[in-house]
Amino acid sequence: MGEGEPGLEIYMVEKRYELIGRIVSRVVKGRRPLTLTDLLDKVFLHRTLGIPIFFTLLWALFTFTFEVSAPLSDLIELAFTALADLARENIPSPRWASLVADGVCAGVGSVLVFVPPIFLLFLGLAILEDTGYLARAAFVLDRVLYKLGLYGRSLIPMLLGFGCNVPAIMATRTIDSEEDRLLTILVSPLVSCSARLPVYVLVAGAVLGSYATIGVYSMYILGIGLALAMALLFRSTMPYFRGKRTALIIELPLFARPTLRSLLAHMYERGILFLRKAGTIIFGSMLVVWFLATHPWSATVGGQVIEASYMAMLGRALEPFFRPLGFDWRIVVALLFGLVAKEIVVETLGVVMGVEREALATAVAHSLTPVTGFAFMVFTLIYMPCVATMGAVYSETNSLKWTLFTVIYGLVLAYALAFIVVVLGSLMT
Amino acid sequence: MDLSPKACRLVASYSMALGLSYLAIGALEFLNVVCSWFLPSMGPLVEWPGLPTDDLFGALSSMVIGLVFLYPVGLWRQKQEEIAFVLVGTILASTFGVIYVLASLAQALSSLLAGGGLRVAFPRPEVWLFLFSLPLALASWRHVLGGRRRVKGAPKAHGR
Repeated sequence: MGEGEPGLEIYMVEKRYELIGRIVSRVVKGRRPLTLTDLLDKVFLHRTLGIPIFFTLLWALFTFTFEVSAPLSDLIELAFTALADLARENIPSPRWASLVADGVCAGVGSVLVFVPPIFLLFLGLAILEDTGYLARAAFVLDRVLYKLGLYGRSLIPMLLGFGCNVPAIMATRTIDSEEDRLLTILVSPLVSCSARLPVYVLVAGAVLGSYATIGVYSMYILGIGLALAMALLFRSTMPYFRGKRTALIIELPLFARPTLRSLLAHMYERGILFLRKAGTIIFGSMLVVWFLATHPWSATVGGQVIEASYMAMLGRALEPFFRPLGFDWRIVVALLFGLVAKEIVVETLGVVMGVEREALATAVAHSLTPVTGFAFMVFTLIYMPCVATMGAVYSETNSLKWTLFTVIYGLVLAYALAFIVVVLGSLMT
Repeated sequence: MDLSPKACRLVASYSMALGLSYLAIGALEFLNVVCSWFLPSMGPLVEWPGLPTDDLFGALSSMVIGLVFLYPVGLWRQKQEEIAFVLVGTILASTFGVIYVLASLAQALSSLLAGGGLRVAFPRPEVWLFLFSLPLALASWRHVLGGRRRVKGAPKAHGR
């Protein structure tokens, strides 16, 4: 049953089960045999082992998602590279060839390589959900989440946020209390979605050397930590969130063997949101990125001289604000386009640095130090959510005020933490 | 569910052996990570085929699996419900065993696509431990699932 301050809800539930218990003890003789669900709950809901088992299964989910999907992503990348080469060789007009090869193929391809891990992540989450385990995870973590200002049911949206923040925010519909739901919506964008992963992998690989792996995973831990910290901060400082806490009352379903059909359906429902985003917002954004990087056409010599482009003009205008973080205009432009979709940060970096994907890590290593590189990763984790996420926040809260609040606090927090990283890093080196 | 005293002790012993193995492997992997990250000049502490040197969370996961297998001490005293820890231990062992095998095959395929030829890495110790856990998994799950059919009928309601 739920934990926390006894409220009317809890009282009613307790009285109801007390009555059931009294009736059962009078009419049923002997011990009810233990079911498989009873046995498994003994371990999954164990006071000591419950949480470590949850984190172990979460790790299994990540390993499955990212390592098993790698060759599928490689195949997609090979296909789009081949298409881009075909376009360059066969389209006579240099401008159209550049649009198709560098704008469409390179741009959209760099996004679609993440379709396999996203779909596998949603498949893994569907397995955990359909077997009945996720409800147990919510119950076990409620004890911890409650102390941190959140709610057991906030777990599932936050887990979905590892794939994409959009379905994560939509999943907050399962939370009954409006205050708890809004709080979960506000902190969900801090959970590191899969769109940010290519940025971490690129930058960590370029500047962190043998610490690249820990650098990438630290972003996930930092994201969760920040989500919990901000939930606690909002709950303790904002009058809207103060007041009676809703305790978690949850009926644990029986453990069941999931069907392949339902797993695939769940995977498809959530994954298709990403594909739609790739096909619309990201595709459109990459065309804009291509245009800004290659025009004026004559001044940039068809995109060869990036410093003469509209993109460079935009980046230089914003560069002074980011100089304290050690970001030059090219990094700033990549972050700016990351507002549209985080997936295009890597491709934008390739465009502004004027290098192919294979040489991008080397180019990044010349622009960023290990400290500023880590600060860039932290900034990418936290700053304003992408357009699609902002749209989801607006549609779920129906409030421009809360949407703007999400955007502004994200930007301020990102700048502050990135600055702290730079300062601490400078002191340590 | 009706395990004989001898069967209880056998299951408990097998579970404990697996638990100690997982714990030991997890500890070695953890020490390797510590050495690789904080004492890079020293290199990994133990270099066994398949033993990773930079998988912190994999090491911690192995230790958790080990703890789960070590928990059912009550089986020595015929506390039959503690077979639950064995069941969950086998679920975790199977999950990681299968995932690590799939990851090895994925790495081999990636290597092939990159033009480096098909190279399958030596399996991690957790894969071998998963194979060793299969007889325990088979026995305990068959007993629990088969026992549902042998369970005595629900006690009759008192009164009418």
